[in-house]
Amino acid sequence: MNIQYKKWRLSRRSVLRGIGASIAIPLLDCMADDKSLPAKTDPKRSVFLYIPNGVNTLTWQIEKTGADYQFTAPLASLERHRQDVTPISGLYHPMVLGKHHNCDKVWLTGANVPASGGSFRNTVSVDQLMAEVQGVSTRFPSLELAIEGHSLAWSRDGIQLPAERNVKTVFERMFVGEKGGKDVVRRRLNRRGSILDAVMDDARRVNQKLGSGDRNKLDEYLTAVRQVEIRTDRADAWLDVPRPDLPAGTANRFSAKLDMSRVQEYHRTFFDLMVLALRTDMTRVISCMICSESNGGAIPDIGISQTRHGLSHHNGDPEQLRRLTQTDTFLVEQLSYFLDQLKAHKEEDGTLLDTTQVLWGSGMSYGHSHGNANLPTILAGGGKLGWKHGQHLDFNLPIIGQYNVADAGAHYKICGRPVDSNAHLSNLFLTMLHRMDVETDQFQDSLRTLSEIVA
Amino acid sequence: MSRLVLFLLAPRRRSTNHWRGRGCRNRCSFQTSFYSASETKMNQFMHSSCTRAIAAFLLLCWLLALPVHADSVAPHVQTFLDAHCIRCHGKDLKEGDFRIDNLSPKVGFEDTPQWAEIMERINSGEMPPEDEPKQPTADERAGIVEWIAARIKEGESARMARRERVSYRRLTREEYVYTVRDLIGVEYDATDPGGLFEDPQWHGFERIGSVLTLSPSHIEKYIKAAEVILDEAYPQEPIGYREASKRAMEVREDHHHYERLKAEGLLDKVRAPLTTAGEIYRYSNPWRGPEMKFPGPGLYEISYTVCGLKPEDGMAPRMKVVEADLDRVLFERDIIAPEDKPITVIFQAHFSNPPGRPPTIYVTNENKVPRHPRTNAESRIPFITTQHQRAPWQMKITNQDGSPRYPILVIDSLTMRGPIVTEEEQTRRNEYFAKEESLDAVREGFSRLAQRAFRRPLCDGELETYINIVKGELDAGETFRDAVKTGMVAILCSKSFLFIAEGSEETERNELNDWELATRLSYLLWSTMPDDELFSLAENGKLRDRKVLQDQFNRMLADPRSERFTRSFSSQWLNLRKVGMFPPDKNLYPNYDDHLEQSMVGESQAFFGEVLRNGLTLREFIDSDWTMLNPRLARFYGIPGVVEDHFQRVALQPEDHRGGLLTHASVLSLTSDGTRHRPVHRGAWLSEVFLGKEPPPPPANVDPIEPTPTDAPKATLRMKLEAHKTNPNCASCHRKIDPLGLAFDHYDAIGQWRTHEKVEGTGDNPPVDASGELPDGRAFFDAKEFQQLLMADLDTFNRTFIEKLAIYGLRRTMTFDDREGLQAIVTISREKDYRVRDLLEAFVLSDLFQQR
Repeated sequence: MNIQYKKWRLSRRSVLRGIGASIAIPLLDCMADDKSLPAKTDPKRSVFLYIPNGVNTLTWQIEKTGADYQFTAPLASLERHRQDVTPISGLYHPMVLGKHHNCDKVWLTGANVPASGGSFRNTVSVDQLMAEVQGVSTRFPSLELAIEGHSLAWSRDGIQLPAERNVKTVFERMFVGEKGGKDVVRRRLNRRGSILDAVMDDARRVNQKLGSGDRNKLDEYLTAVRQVEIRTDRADAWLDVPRPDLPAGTANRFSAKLDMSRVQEYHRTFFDLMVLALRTDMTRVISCMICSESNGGAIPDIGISQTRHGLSHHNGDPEQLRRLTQTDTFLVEQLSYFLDQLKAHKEEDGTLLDTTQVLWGSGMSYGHSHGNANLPTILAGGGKLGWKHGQHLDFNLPIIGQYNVADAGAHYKICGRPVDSNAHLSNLFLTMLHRMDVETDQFQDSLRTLSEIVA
Repeated sequence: MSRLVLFLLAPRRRSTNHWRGRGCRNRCSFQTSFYSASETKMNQFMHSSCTRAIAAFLLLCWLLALPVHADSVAPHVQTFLDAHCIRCHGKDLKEGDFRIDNLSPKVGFEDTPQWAEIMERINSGEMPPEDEPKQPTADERAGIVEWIAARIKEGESARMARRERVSYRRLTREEYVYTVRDLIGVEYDATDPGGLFEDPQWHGFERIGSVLTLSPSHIEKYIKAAEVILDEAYPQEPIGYREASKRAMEVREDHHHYERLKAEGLLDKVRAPLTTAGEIYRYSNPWRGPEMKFPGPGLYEISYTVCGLKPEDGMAPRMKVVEADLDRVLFERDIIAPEDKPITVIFQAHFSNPPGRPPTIYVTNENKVPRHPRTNAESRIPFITTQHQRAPWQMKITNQDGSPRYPILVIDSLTMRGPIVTEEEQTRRNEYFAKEESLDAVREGFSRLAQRAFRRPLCDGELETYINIVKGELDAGETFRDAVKTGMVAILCSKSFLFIAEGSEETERNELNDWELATRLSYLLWSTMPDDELFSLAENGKLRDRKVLQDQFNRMLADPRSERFTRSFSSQWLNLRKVGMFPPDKNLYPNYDDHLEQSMVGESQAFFGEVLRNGLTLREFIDSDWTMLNPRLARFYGIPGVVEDHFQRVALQPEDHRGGLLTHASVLSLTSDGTRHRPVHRGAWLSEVFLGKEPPPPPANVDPIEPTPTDAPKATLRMKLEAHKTNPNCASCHRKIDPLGLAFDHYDAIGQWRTHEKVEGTGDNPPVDASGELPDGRAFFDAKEFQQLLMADLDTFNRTFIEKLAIYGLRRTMTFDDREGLQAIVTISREKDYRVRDLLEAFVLSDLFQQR
């Protein structure tokens, strides 16, 4: 029996002081040094779901604003959730307008992207700000998933937090934990702590000799190591809390090898896993890319073999457009399924959906010529967080009066250039942040909150 | 990511197309100040008419947009700002709270957001406002936009290349794997599920230090990787070497053919045939019985004895071996060998499976015929030969004369042996590990490990950090072996291992020291840490001796590991990772598959290697009368006579319509979007990769391209881009980009030759028009003629290529400060007639290569 398992913490302390203020560690307060976990709080949850390449905007556009609107065909499956959703038209990210490259990477950040599509330094994503507040109470501050493609989440330093694409790995990390029993795991965590101490000590020794302008990459390294240390601490603190009991067969379901060509089943496995993670309060913040911008997105289930990217460059071909609508419909149906599952889980005086706000959307609108205004956006759930659903919120209509999708060119223009230049997607993000108790007056280029849909 | 969108400007502004404007000329004379080479070039142009000479001059200015460190705004830009902007955005009016007159003139370095804003507003036509009576011409707009864009790019490069006192550049995933292999003799499966992350790119380059970021998850992965690596190097229980074999098909005693085969003496002649679609040979596990357990993690040699029967005019069978659990391809090759003369194919594969749990290995025949359950090769009757009597209900797999009708793969037997640890690897492992259970012994081992891992001598006391871990672990009651391994994990996760560091902590230093030079050279040519010879030269301070460095260059280039340079550099320079990023539409391109995709990339890599190794020049990259083909790509190009499954040099005929890198299917595909070829992207790619000029970004608020209604007459993409020519606002930029791409319109989205463009609409498919005109007026009829025009600008390509090489080798972008260093190599390259090997050598021997 190893009774000295906290031995490395002392030395880490001194290290911490040495790093200085250049590293902002938002989770610092939640470090469980004496193994006391933070008090339970009422859960407020958020899920962000991303689809690539925009939609067939001609069949997508809801034409009437307010409560008295009709779902268009691709959105029809949401009818049963009418009182729990708000479709929103007219939002956009100003800094990426006309620059289609990387629009997936800035969907949750709103950062500026070079038009060349080259690399750039991102800014923090909205989900991570939520994780800083709500994640304190859960075993995992946030969960980054991708059914296909990459992560939507970016740290405060603008570094991408990689997403997991393997259901089994996620399930085991959340519900099984590391192998070997508590003592073995604790020893492993301690060992890891010593390793982190050592490499940090080594890096710090050099960092002290360098001027602050001179240690860019070294700071990045130190920050990363430091955050792993926090994760290690956290894992240690949670080690004595038993993982939740799951219904029989759950593990098998998420460990089975999945057939990616059966898309509906594949997607629903991810959605079920998200529901499981939320209802067991493993995490309260999830982001998930559903398909990637470049490849994937074929849906053999409904006879579509092209990638979504290929379909989005339809060149006006009615058959391609029809198929694009079909995939839009399919993807919204999976969202409806997800909402069904969230609703099916009853909590004290409501459902899991009531405490979970779900944002579903794309960073692209009219994919064929890379129009990224009037972004397809659906907000759902979170009734108890203060949302007032049941209407179509439209920022275009007050200015244009009415839509005319029969004039494709005119509608594509709406999807390429913002009608209401103040309708920033960041306004929605700011409102969502407030719903999650994140105290801030600003997110990226936000101008105001969307008070019209707040109760 | 692709870098340019097709765009059309709203035709709402009146302006004249006036390319030869004064403003542009000013800018150009300003930009060419340091390049005397361009003057020689100029003279050639001066022979033509005066107008053409001016045009040529302007083209050159554009092509040779050199890094210029400007502390002042160019005169034509200042003129523009004075004429159109300052009145409203000056100190009096401050329209929109935005002043231009007080912005820093160090464009690209200071006030960058403001300058970017100015560029975008002018580019989009938003500024000056429509109601301003005085409007700039489209060319004046283009002139200022290009100038600001170029300055911003320089600023970006300078920031990315910023030399801190010590620069840290992380190893790429590929380099990590090779380095660990050389350090400790363990192959790490970094691309398997749970391995390391793929690295981000910057214009195709994967090794740019400032781009390779590090997240907490990276650190977790590095810890995990180090644990896996060290567990294999120092297993809990010793893992012995074993060899196991088996017949591919064994007939058991209860099989109803057993007695017959035994009587005929054929029991050991039964084989496993793979003919029809979907068949998988799943029984590839020779590890049987308690005495023959799979030994454990390590590198294994696997061999199969096989025959491959190729129909006379058909494809050879293609053997593909995969690890099914990891979805990893272990081996893939066309097999040709007669039934009575089997061959043995041998390959190595690494597995991290624990003892007793062998890998799951499947074999398939990729070149197969449609599924048929009843061939005489696939029935309940054990298979021995294709010459079997066929039952009446069985499908024939051979012709009357006994020749194969389909590609047939026959597996006889398989052998697996390992784990393979070379003597050198074992010696290394032993050296690092304490010989006895004492901290002194630990220190001795660690000093050997850390010195090689950090690629430099250790600093005083540096080891103590790691020794202390061992101490702490021992105090905590861990076993000696585990405690030592924990210390080793820390060494493999330390900054000094994961990052290539250059510079001194205490002092400013611009020259590389010997250790840094050894490291730079080794990662340039081998993508791994220096070997003992390099280390020893560094230690003795000899590496900076020109002759020694030259010898090392020759030695390293002759080593098979230099193949990594060929592969990696060609991929990164040409951006080959983008091949297949947008998978071609299966309906439009049914012949496209993974094998073709790999073959496309393989051609360009092999082509580069051939040029490098055979003393050929840069000209071959522009045009050549040969290329490197394997059977798959030869079939795709319609070039007969390529049988052996490897890349081989093939002479090209004019009717093949190939030659040079620009007609490679890889290059023609990577600029396409999976359905259509994209001339603008092709032009932008060519401009950047061959001419070193990144076109300015398109304006932000262009009107979308409207699709052609299906009932409209068919139009080529070129016709749809007509506005790029007729609308002066588009033309000012696009006439410099589009012709470079349109020249290759005879090649479709996956690089197949065509004479007509297949498009939607009514009527006949329109014929391809690949002709065009460069901004200087030089016209070309098709790709071949265009390639000749490029050939005439060889110096531009020379300069670009050397810059790309330097980006790769120095792991950073090039800046204004590097211009002299680059120019020196450019000059030598020209003296050496642009021979690629010589210019690579010149790069290694250059001052630039020895500086930070």
